[in-house]
Amino acid sequence: MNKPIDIPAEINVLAPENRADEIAGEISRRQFLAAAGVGAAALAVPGLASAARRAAALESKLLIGNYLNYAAPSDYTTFTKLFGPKVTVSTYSSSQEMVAKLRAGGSAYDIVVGGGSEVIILRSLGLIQKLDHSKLPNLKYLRPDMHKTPYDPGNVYSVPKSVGMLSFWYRPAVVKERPKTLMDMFKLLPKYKSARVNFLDGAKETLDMALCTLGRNLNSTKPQDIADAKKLLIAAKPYVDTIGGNAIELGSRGQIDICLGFNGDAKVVNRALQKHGDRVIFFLPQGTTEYFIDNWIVPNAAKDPDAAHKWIDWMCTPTVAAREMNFIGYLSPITGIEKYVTKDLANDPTINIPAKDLARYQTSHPSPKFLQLANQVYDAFKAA
Amino acid sequence: MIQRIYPRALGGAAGLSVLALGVLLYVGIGRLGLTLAPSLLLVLCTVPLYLAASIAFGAARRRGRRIGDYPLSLALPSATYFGAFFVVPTVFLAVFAVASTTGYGVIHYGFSLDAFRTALGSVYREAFFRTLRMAAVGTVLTALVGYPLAYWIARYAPARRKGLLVALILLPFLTSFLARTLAMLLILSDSFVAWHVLKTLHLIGDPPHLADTTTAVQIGLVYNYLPLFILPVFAALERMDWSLVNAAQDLGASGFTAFREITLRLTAPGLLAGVLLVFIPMMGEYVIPFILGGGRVDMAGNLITRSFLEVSNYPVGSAAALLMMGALAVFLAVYIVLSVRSEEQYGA
Amino acid sequence: MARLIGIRRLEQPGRAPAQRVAEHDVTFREVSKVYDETVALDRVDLEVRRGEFLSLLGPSGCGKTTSLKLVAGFERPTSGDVLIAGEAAVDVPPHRRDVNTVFQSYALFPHLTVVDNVAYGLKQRGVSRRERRLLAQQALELVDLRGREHHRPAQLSGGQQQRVALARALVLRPRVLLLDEPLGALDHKLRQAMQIELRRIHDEVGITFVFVTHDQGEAIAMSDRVAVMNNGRIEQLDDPQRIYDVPATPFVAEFVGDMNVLEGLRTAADRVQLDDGTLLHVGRVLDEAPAGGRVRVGVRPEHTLVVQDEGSGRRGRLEAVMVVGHELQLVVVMEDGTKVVSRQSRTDTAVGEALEPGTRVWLEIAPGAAVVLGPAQPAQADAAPLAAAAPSPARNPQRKEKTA
Repeated sequence: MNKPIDIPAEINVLAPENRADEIAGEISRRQFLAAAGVGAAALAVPGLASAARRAAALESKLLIGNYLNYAAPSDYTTFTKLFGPKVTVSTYSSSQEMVAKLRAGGSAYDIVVGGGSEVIILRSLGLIQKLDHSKLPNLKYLRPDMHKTPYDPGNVYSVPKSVGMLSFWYRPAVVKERPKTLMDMFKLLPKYKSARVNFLDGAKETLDMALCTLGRNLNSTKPQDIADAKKLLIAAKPYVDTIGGNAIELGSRGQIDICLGFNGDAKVVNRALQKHGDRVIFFLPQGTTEYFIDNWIVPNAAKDPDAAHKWIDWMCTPTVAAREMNFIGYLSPITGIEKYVTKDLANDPTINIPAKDLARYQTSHPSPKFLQLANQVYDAFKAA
Repeated sequence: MIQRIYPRALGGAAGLSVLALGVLLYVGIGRLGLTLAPSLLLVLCTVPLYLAASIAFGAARRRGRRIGDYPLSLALPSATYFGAFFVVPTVFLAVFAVASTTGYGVIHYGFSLDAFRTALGSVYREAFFRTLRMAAVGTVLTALVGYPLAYWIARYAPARRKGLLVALILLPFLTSFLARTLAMLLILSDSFVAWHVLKTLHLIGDPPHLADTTTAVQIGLVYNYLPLFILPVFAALERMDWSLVNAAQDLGASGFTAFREITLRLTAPGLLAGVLLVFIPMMGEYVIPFILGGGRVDMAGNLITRSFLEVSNYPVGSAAALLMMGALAVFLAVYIVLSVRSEEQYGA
Repeated sequence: MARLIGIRRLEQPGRAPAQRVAEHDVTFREVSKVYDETVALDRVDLEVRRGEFLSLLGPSGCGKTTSLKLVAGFERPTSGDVLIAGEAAVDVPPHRRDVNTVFQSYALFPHLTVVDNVAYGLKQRGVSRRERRLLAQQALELVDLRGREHHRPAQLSGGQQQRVALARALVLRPRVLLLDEPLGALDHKLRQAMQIELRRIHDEVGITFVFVTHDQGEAIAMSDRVAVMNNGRIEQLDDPQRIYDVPATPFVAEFVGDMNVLEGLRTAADRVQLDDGTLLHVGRVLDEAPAGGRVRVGVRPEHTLVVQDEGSGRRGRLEAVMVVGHELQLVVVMEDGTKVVSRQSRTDTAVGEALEPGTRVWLEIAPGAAVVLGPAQPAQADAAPLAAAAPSPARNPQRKEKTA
């Protein structure tokens, strides 16, 4: 776990509990096995059956699907302490992976985290359920504009969780120039041959970024745009060292010099590096780029939708939302958090993106055709 | 009549007890963390298989064909396993491969060869040939590294040390595959302490930049599959009659000629088994390129994995997987033909 | 020789054929071979004459196979010189030596046909395919194996495999042919047939044979000369008759042929008195033992005679009578418990074949036939009930009774 040095005291106190959380997870699994053993015995001794059933009912679980390092682990244990359900987290490395897992069935997430595009895709596939707003009183804290997201007006299927954007971050110790646009950075790559360059995982994200770099519509399926994007990526491939490397972990160890990534991750990396007098710069591109709203989504297959709603509602509490923001480094769409959020986050334009910049940036609404093209481009990029 | 029924009843009872044992095993495995569902499924798979086999053999017997006195029930547990985990999924693959997708990857069952067209397209073809090259190079390297070691243990190591040496070769298998590969990443990365030591001693300039390259993947392939190669080759060399080598030298063959014409020739079946045992999994490898290749080196397995686990294009993934299986089946067929021939040759 | 006339002598590649005719094909000079702690050969001198059939005879571990490996080149001597045809051979690798081996296990190449096995050595020397076939065919005829050219070794019987191994080594017409217990795996009848066959082949091709065996009968029957080996040394190198009749050492006497070993008191240079009072006239003394001391004496079964009339012989009881072909073998238990084996021709035997075991008989020993093997060994007290040095009467009750 990368523990930032300058996080609020509240989280520092909770830090040891991160371990306790893991241990608690272990114990709960063992208890579950024990319960299963009781169940097996109950099959043989009918008198025990009802007792076993009662024991199993008490065991409420919440399985959350999330990106790596995209929630404060302490909140999992706190949630269990406050409301009962044991929280288990399963991570995925790209949004498409999450969609694939949901489609394949078998992984019964109670909640998943996904961007606007995933809300669109999962809804069209009929894999997610409508939210019961009566169980989400804290939705009132949501920023007004977040009630009418383009992909899900009225929060029928999704509740915004974090807002983030895509750009490059780099170590000024290596990169001497100060790039202003994504294209500037692409042009610098050949100059820094030996720099360690990490790109994003995921076909959609990769094509999104390439189209933005070229200043095109990031949802474009025009053959010319796609061809240009492919050319750009393949030309950059020789300078890319890793694709889908764990940006936070590698970056915090100083093992990435140039990273195509998200603002929040850069923030977390920066906190870790500053301990050693190193730092990274995440820049707001002067051209266009992608910004996204990630959401809490409840799949149809959720085993415990009540617990899922409880979690989402709790996450909308300003104190909790602020704690989350402090930990993951991404802007929270909840109002009334200002007094709980650390200054370096609240005042950082790369996190709290100014409206004039946001106007230039685009969000992703991929059509099926776009995803198909993205896969082809990504395969070619990886093969290059 | 009674005498004829009696052994059959006995055989039937034996078969049923093997079946019962199999069922118990499956249930036991099912208990380990998983739920009971997979084991129950297996047990259910067993019943029709057992019935089908009984009917088929009964029919053959009625037609008067001799099947021999093989206790087929012994093959039943494994038949069930292969049935449940190989045949059934392969049928699924075939169904997916001729299906098509619309919208966000919704599958429409039907008959379409589009998926095969994509899977035979340039990206997949290139990935296949790149994988073929890496697996071939990896296999050759594995053989070059592994054969001399197996040879040394079989021929020169003291008899009472052989067991220990073979155990040492298997030692890496005691750690998880993932842990081994991640450990390799540490060694291959530029920050590995040895590079610093060598650099401080002015023995090398900059670290060799091995991590996240095809070379790293190649090294990883060899390392991970080496034990799998050594075992069959060692078994073959262990059976080798070394007086044959002496005989060849005695008849005028130089040491190398004797090795080539006698040792290599006679251990060829073991060598071939070792080669296939590493070549085929190398062709399907996707974890090593993912970890050691920094995600920038795609082998065929990565493309197929991605079709299923990321982009949800089941038809293309299935078609590519089937084509790959077909290609590998060719190698397997070659192996079978060669091994049958060598068996005939020795008059065994 | 007749059938092989016309086969030119194959020349060793890269080596001029030995011009001068050496008298000895193989020479060992002070050859020692030490493995780890064990001494396999201890300063052995040996000269194998051109064209002879020489057997290296001895129990397992005596160094005979090691000697063979030194000639073939599979081992290096720890010290000393090995010469082949008068030239130092220690540094010559096996494939450059003009010697070929018939291995104990035959070591036929399982993946090659019979004819390819035989032609293997010719191929290594670059002989053309046509000529190879012809020469291999001739070699197979020499060993009397026809019609099996295209079989695999595994399809042949043991005897046939043995012939292939022989043909494979002979086809190269080496200066010396080494045979490492080649008949060991064959059954008795086949072995005897092969003994005759081997001797015939030797006489036909005129090549020097060095034959390793632990079967003394085989060595005696086939060889021009026999080297009896023990503990890494050659105890005696002589023609078979002399090995049998005039053993040079007690080991040779006991190892070659059957020998009754008795014990007694050396009363004079050529007299030994057995414990029952019988006086033996000793012909030869193999190991000096002080007069007046207890000695072991050896008597071959054929130098004894069992009679039913009381004479000068020792008294005993017949234990067993066996008809072995034309011979009669009788086991007599002497009054002191010693067992003596006697062998006599059935035609001139003094006792009837129908003699019942248990009959009282007398045993006569031919004058001068006994040899002194050496001083009696106290260690053998347990094995030989009559050992004189038996320390305590309790261990030897029979003797106690007798003296009482």
